[in-house]
Amino acid sequence: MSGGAVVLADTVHRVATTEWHERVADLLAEGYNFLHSLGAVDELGRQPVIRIICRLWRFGGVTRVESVRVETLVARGDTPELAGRLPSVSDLLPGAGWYEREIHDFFGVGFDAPDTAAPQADLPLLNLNDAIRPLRKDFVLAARVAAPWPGAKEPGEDAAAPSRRRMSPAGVPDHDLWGHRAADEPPPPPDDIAAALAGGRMRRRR
Amino acid sequence: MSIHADLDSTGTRDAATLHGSIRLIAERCTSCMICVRECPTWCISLDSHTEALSDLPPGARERSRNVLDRFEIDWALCMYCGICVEQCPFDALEWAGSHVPAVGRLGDLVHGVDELDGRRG
Repeated sequence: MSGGAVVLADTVHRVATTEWHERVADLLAEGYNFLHSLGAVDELGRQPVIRIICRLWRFGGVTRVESVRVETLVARGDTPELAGRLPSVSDLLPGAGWYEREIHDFFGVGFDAPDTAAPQADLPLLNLNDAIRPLRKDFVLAARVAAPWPGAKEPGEDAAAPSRRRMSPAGVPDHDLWGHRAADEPPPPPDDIAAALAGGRMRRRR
Repeated sequence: MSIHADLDSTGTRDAATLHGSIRLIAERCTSCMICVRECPTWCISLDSHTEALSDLPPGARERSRNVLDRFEIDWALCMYCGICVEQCPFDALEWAGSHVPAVGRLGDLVHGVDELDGRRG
């Protein structure tokens, strides 16, 4: 045999959270019984949701793999505690429990264990502080704020760029946006933080 | 799309697809800073300066080019994601098969132009 197995392009099923468990069960019944991955993407900046993606494979012999992706959108909430919940599929796919615990720890999305599910569905993977949900796009990488960024220099220059075309690294929002705030000042809007976290040329604020 | 497309019929990887380390081809580098800025782990740093071009025809506008003074990859930080290889517009970075050797001190994992460019062939 040469060339290895061929994985066909994903067929995508976009479902509501209420249909999530049922759709995964249906696909399992159709033979998609290999859990390739279960992950999440914070869509902040596009829409205030967290996209949950479950990829399942069906093997046709040893050389052909059919792949489906089930996607659903869960409310992200302005803070991790306000993130939405999703029914766990760990009763169908026991291995999914580990991924669900990861998604809970990194994004704040909770998973409701069905009666028959393995008990790990509502346990965290790591005992992170509730405020630390590091894959949410408004999570600031605080250690980077203090570290000098090697990309601040311009080509051919040995010092940081003049402020009019200053670059900012990804993960470090402008100090005006994120820095020390008066106690009565409201927190910065999560959309603004997410935009700042993409890095690039700094936008002049106000 | 094929999984294991880089495995030949005997199951061994082609040398060109081995992601052992990243090689710098210094004469192609224009010090544009793109790799430095794109690196998610901040493991690349470089210094450069501009130099006026001398071999211009008479009457031509003055022009200058960037000259690379220092290029360093800190292998202690690099996670071998290949974003720098992919982003370089001048193909000055490429995958190399040889692995970064173990060292006794952390600082020795910072490789400069000599180490990064000297492993060709």
